[in-house]
Amino acid sequence: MTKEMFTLKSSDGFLFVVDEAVVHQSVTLSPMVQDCAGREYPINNVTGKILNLVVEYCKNHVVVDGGDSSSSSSSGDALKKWDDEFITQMDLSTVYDLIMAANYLIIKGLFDLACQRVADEIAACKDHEEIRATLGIVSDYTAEEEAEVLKENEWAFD
Amino acid sequence: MDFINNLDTDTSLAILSCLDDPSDLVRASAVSRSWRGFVIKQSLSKSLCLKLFHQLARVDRTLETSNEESSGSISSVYALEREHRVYALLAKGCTSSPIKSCVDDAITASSTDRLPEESILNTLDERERIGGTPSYWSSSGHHKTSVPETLLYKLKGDLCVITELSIQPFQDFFDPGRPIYSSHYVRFRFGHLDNKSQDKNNYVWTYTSQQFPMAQENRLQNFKLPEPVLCIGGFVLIEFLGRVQRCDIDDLYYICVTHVKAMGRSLAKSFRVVDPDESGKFGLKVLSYSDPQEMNEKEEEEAGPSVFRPMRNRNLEQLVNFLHSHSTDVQYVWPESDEDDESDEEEV
Repeated sequence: MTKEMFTLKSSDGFLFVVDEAVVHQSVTLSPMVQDCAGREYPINNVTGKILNLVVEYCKNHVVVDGGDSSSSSSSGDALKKWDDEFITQMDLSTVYDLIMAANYLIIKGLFDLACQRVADEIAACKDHEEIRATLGIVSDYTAEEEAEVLKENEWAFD
Repeated sequence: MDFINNLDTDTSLAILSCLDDPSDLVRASAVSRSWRGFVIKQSLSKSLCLKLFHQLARVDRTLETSNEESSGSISSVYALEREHRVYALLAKGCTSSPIKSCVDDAITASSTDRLPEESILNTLDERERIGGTPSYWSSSGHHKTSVPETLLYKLKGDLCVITELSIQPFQDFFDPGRPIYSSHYVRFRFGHLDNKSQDKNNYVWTYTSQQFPMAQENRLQNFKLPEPVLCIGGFVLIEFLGRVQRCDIDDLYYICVTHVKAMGRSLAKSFRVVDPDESGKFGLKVLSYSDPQEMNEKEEEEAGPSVFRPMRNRNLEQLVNFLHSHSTDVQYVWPESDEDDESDEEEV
């Protein structure tokens, strides 16, 4: 039985050939299954670098999700481990791009995974200054305003 | 990337909603004005609290001791800021105050066989015997095993997060058969006094646990709640369902308990619950913004011997009866005034 293949084209011209199971993981792309077999489908706001990661995620999630959804805990654990390694090795800038791509393509699992990575990054910071440094944020507080905010919730800033 | 300013609201919300530690949310609000504005406007502290304890859906307003109760609309910036402070503190208290015993006082039993010897007060004391006398509560006897019993307790403060309850049934060693008067099942309810009712003894139960099977064994049995429960109002009702032990002497079924314990985090030093309004919803009032974890650790050092703490606010007759039945063991000095916790209590 031959599977239907689909070609996705990134904003910068890279082509990715994927099967139906991968396409169906994106709510945005799912309808294209009806019309686009054999033709290139442009994804205008996602670069090749990011689309590559999206496709890698989806391919990995097909393998396990293809069986019954209540698969054994060991394969569930293995998938979770893969997800953790997948998202942790990326730098934050790539994670943001992935969030936006997953948001546009509506791939919930990937979106949640990437958002959680950013949240984990914030949670790992011991104070607000470290959050700024890690995420590259410039504060617009005056010294007095900042002192007041810190005083207000003193218990969080030991 | 400063995603609060660069991504859409829903996405930023998705990221910050992943934070489970209230301290993280507070630190996030110190990053920049726009971050703080986002955390406050999106009521993230409140959402975190509701995620942890859906019992908080019964709270609809927040108050601080330094301010009058606001009658303005909840969407005003000031109200949202206050809400943020209050819920951030609540989340911190609910997740990091030390876990300790939370039962403050025994209120009433559905029935008692012999007063004062078998009073519910005995269940506050973990000792099986005091002097030579067994210390336990006994229900009255019934022919039918289906007749339930209840024990009602007051917890420490209006807000307690309860994680686990423990009960030790009573074993009668004077009876050659050494019967253990447990029940078949036990169930817990949390709630508050019903202010609308004329009858001062009416309660509204806002949480009911599953039925836990009880073993017919003389040991402190632990009943861990599937997840910590926030008790709003400070009352816990223990229901004993199904009698299992008959007394040889009178052929009646009884339920008897040596000790009752409720473990959790008391937020009494930080919060008070304000009586429900017509809609039945509560107000949440902050008493102190000090770190709840530190305040509770300090309280441990100040407290007196645990046996006597429940003796506050006891009516005199009960007190005299209690002393009479335990007189060989204990010396007790009645405090001059009963204003504060630390009375002149002594134990032999």
